[in-house]
Amino acid sequence: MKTKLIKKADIIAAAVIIAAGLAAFLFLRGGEGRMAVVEYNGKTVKTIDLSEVEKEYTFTVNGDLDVEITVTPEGIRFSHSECRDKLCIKFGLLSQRGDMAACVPAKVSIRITGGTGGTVDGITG
Amino acid sequence: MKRTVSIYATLLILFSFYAYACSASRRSDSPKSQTSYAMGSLVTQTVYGGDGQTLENAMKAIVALDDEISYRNDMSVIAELNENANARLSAKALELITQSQKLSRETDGKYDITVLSLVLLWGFDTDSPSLPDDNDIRSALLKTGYEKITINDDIVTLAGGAAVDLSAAGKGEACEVAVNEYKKAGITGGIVTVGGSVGVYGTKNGEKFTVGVRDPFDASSLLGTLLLTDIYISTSGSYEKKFSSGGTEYHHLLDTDTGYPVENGLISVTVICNDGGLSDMLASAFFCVGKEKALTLIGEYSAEAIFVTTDKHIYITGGLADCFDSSYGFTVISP
Repeated sequence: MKTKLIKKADIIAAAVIIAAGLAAFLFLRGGEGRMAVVEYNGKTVKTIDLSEVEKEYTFTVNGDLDVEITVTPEGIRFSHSECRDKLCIKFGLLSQRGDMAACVPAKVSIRITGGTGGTVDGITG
Repeated sequence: MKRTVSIYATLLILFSFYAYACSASRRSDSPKSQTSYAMGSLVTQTVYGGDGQTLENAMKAIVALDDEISYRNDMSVIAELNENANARLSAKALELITQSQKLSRETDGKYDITVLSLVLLWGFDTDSPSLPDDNDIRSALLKTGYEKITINDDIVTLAGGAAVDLSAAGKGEACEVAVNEYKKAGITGGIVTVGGSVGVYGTKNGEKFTVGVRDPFDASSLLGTLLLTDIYISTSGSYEKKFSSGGTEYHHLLDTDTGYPVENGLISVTVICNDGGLSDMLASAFFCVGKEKALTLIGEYSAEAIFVTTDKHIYITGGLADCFDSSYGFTVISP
């Protein structure tokens, strides 16, 4: 009888190893969804999974000043603030990992974590 | 034999996934981040190979620096100096004032930490700046001038009603005290931003940090990115703090000769150098003296810079040619 090059047991073993490897890969990759983290004075007040947003909505954060934040399937932005310079609104839509905006007078910030693209670690200016 | 081949093939597959899992694990080496507020600015930190305590220690160091050098804090040595026109300074405050005075001399006083009386007159330290009366500007100008500062060992004296403000150095220096905490903690890398200043230390999972340079014409965009490690980056721009009056825009970087905002065709200057406080001071100084004069100083400080003009031209110094990336056209210039 001829010896098979690869036995059935080998195929099963290889399949198990590949499956385990894939599971480990997916587990370690983790956090693929784009998450928007809204903070007041450094404490998280809201975490939004942007991949689950189907239609636009707004909410208010009562920081040192009140700010209104708008969430859309594309991203998240400051839409209204009681601050003087409105710089937070000028930051526009945050959509990529690493995007960040803050309303300093209100001490409210938004940052995007997870997802792909966006490789900026910090911003000067 | 063939059986052995299949065992080796299986082991190879196993090893490949193990190696990948290890590299994936290292790539996502759980960075720790923190958002806080100090010096009237947003402070962000991300550390690699560090923990929450590293972030806390860096934040404490930033707050301690602010307490020490802010003219707004009644207990600071600078407030004492401004109040009494004479004070024995802490080592840090003395170092910053000494560096500032040297830079003032080199810029013929265009960079001047005694500009505080003018800043207060315009109200740029408040929520409601406004156009002052011409006579008041002339009076405030009489109280400015770096030559009014006398340094004698660690005693500093102010003449002629002068008052000093180290804000132009503070945020950059704050980045440096944070990075010093990262070094003490022995972490592999970290990035700290204080307002428009950035400090990068070490690497993130073996890679340099990417620092975005904000587009002075559109706050929602980036002008470009810099790939850097172990260095400090600060930006001064006329787009940061400004207000309109009678159809004219006025920004916060004031000309010590006229008392009015500097107008020299620049909209922003970004400086990259290996000293945090100096990166911040040089950004202000270079903005105030203009591109040509700035280029004569850049070698002395081993600094690099990005100049952006009001007519939307970008100039970068030669040392940045390999680490600056932009979708806009830019010109590389040599000092």
